[in-house]
Amino acid sequence: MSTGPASPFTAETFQNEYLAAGVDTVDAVVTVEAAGEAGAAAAAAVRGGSDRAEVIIFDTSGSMGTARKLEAAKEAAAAAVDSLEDGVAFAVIAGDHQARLVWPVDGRRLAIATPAEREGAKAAIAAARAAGGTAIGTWLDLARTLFASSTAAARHAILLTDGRNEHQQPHELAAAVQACRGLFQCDCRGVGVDWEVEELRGIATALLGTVDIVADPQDLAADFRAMISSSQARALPDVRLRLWTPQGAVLESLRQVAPEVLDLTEAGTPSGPLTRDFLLGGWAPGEARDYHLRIKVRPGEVGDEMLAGRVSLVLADETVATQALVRAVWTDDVAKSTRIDRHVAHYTGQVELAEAIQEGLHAAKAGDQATATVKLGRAVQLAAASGHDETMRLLAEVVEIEDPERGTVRLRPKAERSAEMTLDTRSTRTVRLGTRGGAGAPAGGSREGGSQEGT
Amino acid sequence: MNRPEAHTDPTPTGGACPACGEPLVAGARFCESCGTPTGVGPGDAAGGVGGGTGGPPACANCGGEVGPDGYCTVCGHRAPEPVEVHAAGPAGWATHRGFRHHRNEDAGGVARTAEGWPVLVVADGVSASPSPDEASATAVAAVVAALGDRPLAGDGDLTAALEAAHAAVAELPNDQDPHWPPDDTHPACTIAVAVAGPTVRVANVGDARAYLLAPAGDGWRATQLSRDDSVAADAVAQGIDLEVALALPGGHGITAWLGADAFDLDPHLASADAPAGALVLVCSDGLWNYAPTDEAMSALVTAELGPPRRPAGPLPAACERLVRWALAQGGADNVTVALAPVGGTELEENP
Repeated sequence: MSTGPASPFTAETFQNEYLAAGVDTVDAVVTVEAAGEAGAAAAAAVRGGSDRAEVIIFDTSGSMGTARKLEAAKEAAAAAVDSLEDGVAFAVIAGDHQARLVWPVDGRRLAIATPAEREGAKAAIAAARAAGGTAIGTWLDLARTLFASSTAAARHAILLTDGRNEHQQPHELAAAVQACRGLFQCDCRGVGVDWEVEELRGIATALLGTVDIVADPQDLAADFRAMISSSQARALPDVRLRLWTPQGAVLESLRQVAPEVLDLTEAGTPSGPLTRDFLLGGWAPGEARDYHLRIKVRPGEVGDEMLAGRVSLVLADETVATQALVRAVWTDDVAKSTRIDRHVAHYTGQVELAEAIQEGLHAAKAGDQATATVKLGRAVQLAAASGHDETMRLLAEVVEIEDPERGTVRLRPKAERSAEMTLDTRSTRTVRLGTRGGAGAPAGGSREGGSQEGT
Repeated sequence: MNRPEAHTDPTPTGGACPACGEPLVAGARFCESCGTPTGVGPGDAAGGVGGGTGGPPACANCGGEVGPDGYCTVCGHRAPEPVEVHAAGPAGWATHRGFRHHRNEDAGGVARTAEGWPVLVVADGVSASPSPDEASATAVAAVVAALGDRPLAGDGDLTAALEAAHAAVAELPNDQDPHWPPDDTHPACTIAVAVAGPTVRVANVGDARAYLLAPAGDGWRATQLSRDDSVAADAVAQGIDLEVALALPGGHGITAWLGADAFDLDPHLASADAPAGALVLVCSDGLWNYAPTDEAMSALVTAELGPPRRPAGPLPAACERLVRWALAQGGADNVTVALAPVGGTELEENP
């Protein structure tokens, strides 16, 4: 639970810690919440605009010249520059088969946002022309070099593309992404329908950012402003999740499960004999994220209690802000060991929902209509059961829903490509337990049902 | 992650870690690099309830260091807590969670009547109910408040004390236990109380027990004064041997308890004139399950308390020995034991 009023984070564990004899797998959901402004102020927080760096990267490949995409991208980049607070270190990169620095003119350091610098940057953006291919790795390389010249505590980039990484080998992009990990966060956007969802999702996941489709170029400027605004709200930079597991234990999986599914299992780096750290990026005051852990331990005897995991939130200055314990208690009481915690059940369903959508769309793309129908039907069923209205709406544009409860659907023969890509891109977004009407999550504990009056 | 193989070869102090090859600090029990046990002590010094001599306590499971939160920093096992011992003059009580329950749902207490006679109370929360630990603690507090520092008129005072305990437990909310999903069951506990005056008076509900321990040569003779409200006791009343009855399906099930969903309260009352040098013992079934008959309890008390002495030896320590004995038998349940010398005379020697 909380470590006190001054802590910038609170964490809480939801699990059924009771295991039948011989069972070795421990499941738990740990919810983490950042405190409001006051809590963040007490911690190793970002100190004003001068402690931030932003790099805006937009695609200027030849294909951007169609459907007014380049104009929209330039307007969006200009809107992003206008949204920067005074003092923020920034740069603008135009990318095709190579990266070109649009602003500042002197490429050895980042510009510092002032009215004059913003005007200069916007004029340079306006002069950009569409030509050439797409090599996203080179754009990231230049961004990394620029960030490396900055001492800012919070480092964030926006990356916009309309196409595949065609002029670079996949391993080259992978290496470029890997080199950026931990140096800056990057939100990725695809404009139009000719880009690859998996490719951008891979970059965004590795660089702790969001990924989304902006099907209509007209919506880009508003989206860029929103991204800069969320980035500037992140008062707590470079937060890490530190996980201790007992000797001999195996981390089966660690996923962020809210606000969206993010598999972190393999992303940890050792920080001690029995601990490893996972980068979580920056946090805004009041932000909440949930994590699902599955740990395999050496089973104890009936009556034994074991600490199967200790989750710590570690700030940039190594302060441990809060901890949550994942426990295992072996019992011969079947009534206790067969109970499933509702948070664990809920997020198991949400992860399955995301997978069903992705597998269903993949099957549809490959022409396997039978599998696509089954998977997307299952997705409809799960979305209905969890009250995931937004995903349900997106699913309805790809399949005709006959019976949501049973998951009976028919593929729409002429589904829009943009509808499929939107569904794919947003498949990982989850709903938190109790965001619906009266089915509110209890304030504490993990209880089934409830005798309280609905509120 | 690191998943070093277990090994059994003792590693020379200061050698290399057998798992990862890193050099070991002299005397280290674990490799600083990968956490693998080095095979160096304390092994034998580890373990034991409430054991440990200086330095961080060692884990009974792997010999690792137990952290400040009570979990081993290497294998994660929760270290057994020490036996909790309470002294009140020469009387006292001791309790422990045992090894198979995740929390201690027993409660105990010692008070004195205005006459100076010890009052012993032990309550045992019903595991198949919400907040059983709260139930037993509430019941004990109510009995202590009802009998402590007041003159004892007779059995009616004991009945009144249990009625007060029953009413207090019945008022507890049934939706406050994070380990119990809300349903229509209510907090419940069993209870036994004994007043160790020249006439020992006992009252009980459920299967917590009170015994008179009379000196018998070099040993003790235990006589159960309470009467179990249990399936087994009902079977015994019909002529079945106690040990057979306890082995019946549900034999340990109780048929009466305190709490909102209990039947009409009907405490068993008993009294006995105590011989000189006698003691009174009150305990939860975590002890007597391992010594269910008067013969077995007599043998146990003789073995753990030694020959009768006057005045009686330090009884809190004797309580702790009995609890440890139950833990050594497996500690399948919470264990609570209270002991007091009969009458007020010994109490005055050691206020």
